[in-house]
Amino acid sequence: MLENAPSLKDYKRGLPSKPPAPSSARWRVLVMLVGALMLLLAIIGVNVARSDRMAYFTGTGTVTGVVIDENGKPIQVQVFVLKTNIAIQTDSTGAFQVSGVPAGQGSIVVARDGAGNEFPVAVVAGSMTDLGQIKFVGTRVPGQ
Amino acid sequence: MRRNSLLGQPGQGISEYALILVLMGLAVILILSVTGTDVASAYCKAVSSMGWNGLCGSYFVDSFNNLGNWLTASGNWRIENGELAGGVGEGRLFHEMSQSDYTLTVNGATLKQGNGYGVFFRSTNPTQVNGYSFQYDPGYGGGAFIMRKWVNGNELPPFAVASAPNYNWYNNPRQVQIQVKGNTYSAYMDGKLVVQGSDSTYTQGGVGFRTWDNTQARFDSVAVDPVK
Repeated sequence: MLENAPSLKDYKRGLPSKPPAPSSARWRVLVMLVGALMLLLAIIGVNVARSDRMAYFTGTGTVTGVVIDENGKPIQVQVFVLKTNIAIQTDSTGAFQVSGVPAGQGSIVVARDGAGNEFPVAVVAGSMTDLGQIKFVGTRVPGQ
Repeated sequence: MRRNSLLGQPGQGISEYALILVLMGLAVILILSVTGTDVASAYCKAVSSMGWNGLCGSYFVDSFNNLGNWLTASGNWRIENGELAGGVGEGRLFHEMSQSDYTLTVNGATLKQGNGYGVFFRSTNPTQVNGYSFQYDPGYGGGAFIMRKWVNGNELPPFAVASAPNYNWYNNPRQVQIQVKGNTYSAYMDGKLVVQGSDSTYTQGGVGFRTWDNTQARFDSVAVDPVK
């Protein structure tokens, strides 16, 4: 009847540890799950901050200007806002107005006949940024 | 006797160890994201350094048996004697990809005639290309290696130029290698760095080739691999 009873040798190193209360194990799992969720949210936040979607949070502004050629005459060109899908055409006076441009440091490209020029622009949310006259130099020579 | 370390707490089961591993993995991904490192490239670099090359092979390889992997946006492209042949005229040929960082290697790149050829990288929207091109360009300012940005099919002035007036441009098969990493692009000719540029506009995209005017060029093979 006592064949399966523990012997004194089994307790050579002291009494065995008591199993933890079930609540402490659940608490540790909960802490780790919350930690994992916070890390996941941080990863998502970093990737959103790096993406074009950030514009929805930082706001947008308007950019205006007049495009002229090397002789100072207004010309009709396409205007693109980099890192967005915004594309418009200047009017016959070379003037353009682009709305919905993400706030912050950005660039616009004016292009014609396969060649383009890039111009930096600093946009303030809710404001209009006037680039004034910008000169388009568009020699369509592939190697030049 | 109770152990006080997080990993040594009595009663910890396999689910807790799994959660700890998940936490560590998420922390690593967060650090890579904050530092702007492409996670896939970091993974491939890690496994390659351990010699597990089979786990992370080339993203794309083509020895030009046919043009099945390519989209012709314009120009005269064909297979001749197992090589890709381009020109004459303005030509653009693309292979779409979604990777961000990679090393693009073109073997047997030979300019037969004309003012040069281009190699596209991080390119999207083939018919109105957005992306970058490296140009082997004897026609630019007496001969230069240049990098250009493209916006809706329009080429912009170079953002990187390395003059090479005494370079042997014609009828020499070259290895062109372009390392595309973060916002920095490094071009090597036959293993030697010739031009380097930086731009943050485009973060991912495919590869391609370009000819223009009187150019006739040949290319033997192309490979796109994780950044080493």
